[in-house]
Amino acid sequence: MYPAHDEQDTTAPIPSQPRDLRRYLDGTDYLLPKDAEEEYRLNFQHYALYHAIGNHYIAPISPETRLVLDVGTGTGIWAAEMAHLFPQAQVVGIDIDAALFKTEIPDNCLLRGGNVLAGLPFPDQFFSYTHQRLLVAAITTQKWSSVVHELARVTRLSGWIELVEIDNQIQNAGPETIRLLTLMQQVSRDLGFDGEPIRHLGDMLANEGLQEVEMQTIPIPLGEWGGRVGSLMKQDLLKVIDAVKGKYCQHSKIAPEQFDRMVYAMAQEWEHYHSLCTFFAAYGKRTK
Amino acid sequence: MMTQPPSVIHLPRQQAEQLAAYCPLYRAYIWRTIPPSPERNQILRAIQTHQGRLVAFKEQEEAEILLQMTTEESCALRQMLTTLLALYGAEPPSHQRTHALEELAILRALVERTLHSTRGRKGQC
Repeated sequence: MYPAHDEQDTTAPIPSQPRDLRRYLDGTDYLLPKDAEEEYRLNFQHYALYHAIGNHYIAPISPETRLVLDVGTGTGIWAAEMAHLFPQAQVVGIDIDAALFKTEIPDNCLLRGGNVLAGLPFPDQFFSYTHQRLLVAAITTQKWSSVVHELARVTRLSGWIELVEIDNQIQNAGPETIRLLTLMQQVSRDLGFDGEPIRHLGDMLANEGLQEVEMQTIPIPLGEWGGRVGSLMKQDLLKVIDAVKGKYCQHSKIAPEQFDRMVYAMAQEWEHYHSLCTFFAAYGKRTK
Repeated sequence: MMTQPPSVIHLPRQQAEQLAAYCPLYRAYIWRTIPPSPERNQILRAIQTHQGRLVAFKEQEEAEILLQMTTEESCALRQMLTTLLALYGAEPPSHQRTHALEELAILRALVERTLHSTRGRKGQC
């Protein structure tokens, strides 16, 4: 059994390994690695987000929810957590890569391989709650609408769909933050990720005919100035940036050492400017 | 340890649907204005629970909903109504503001009356 969220040591630093040993998925657009370090980061992030956002889920789902799907489940930690919180439900987690799946999961949780971009391996109108969190580095701009359409397809009438993503902008950004983000956003655009769909999650749900659609904007502090949550989120975001450093340096022709200096300067700035990242969360109910 | 009996509120359908609509507004307000903390998150979860019950009730045919709440949930509900009344009260006069204040005032009166009679004393939160 995994530790309860308030028992997890979320302050332990995420271990690092040499960049050239990071494992990336070939033949996909996915920007992040899939290795032991990423496994640890994803589990760390799960608990950081719980404290930052306030819950593991945002949609107003009922305790009687029976069939739950987590798309892009990563290690499966969210799916396992939900299986624990909803013991009467069957929770399915699906991910393009099963290598990071947790080995100890509740009996009402199932983790399996699958790629939402290739179509979910489930029948129409199957799940009563379909959840997708932080696939911003997996879904290119042009594919977002089709992904949301697929999520709607597998969700039953009166079922909920929830999307949670992080913006590519940072609030209260200083000059070093703006400098690095401008570079990263340009590379991201070149790779097919422009960040714009993230700001229209609610619209995409509404376009699929969902009702009771709500779009929430959730600012989260970055840095020690923001207390424990700020410290956790800073650590997580810096690890994400480090994970994509190789691709971004290669694409922008910037030396890794220079990139590291830019990241360091940005992180220092967050404390002074009280910078924040922004999460967008949208949910809606399928009625037709 | 003696546990407090749950608070119970009877809400007519119209007021239940109104309350359901105010829940996401209040959650947005909390996220936007209150830094993360265990206390803040507890309020968020309580309001989310209320919203879930109220939204589920909309699909039913009963004329009123019976809301059973823990102490924390009832406190969060009262806090939500009080805060929303203050927020709308601070807005410039408009038809929407007047309408919202009327709805919220009725909701708060319903909640306060029920909680007061259920618990036999005020000032629980």
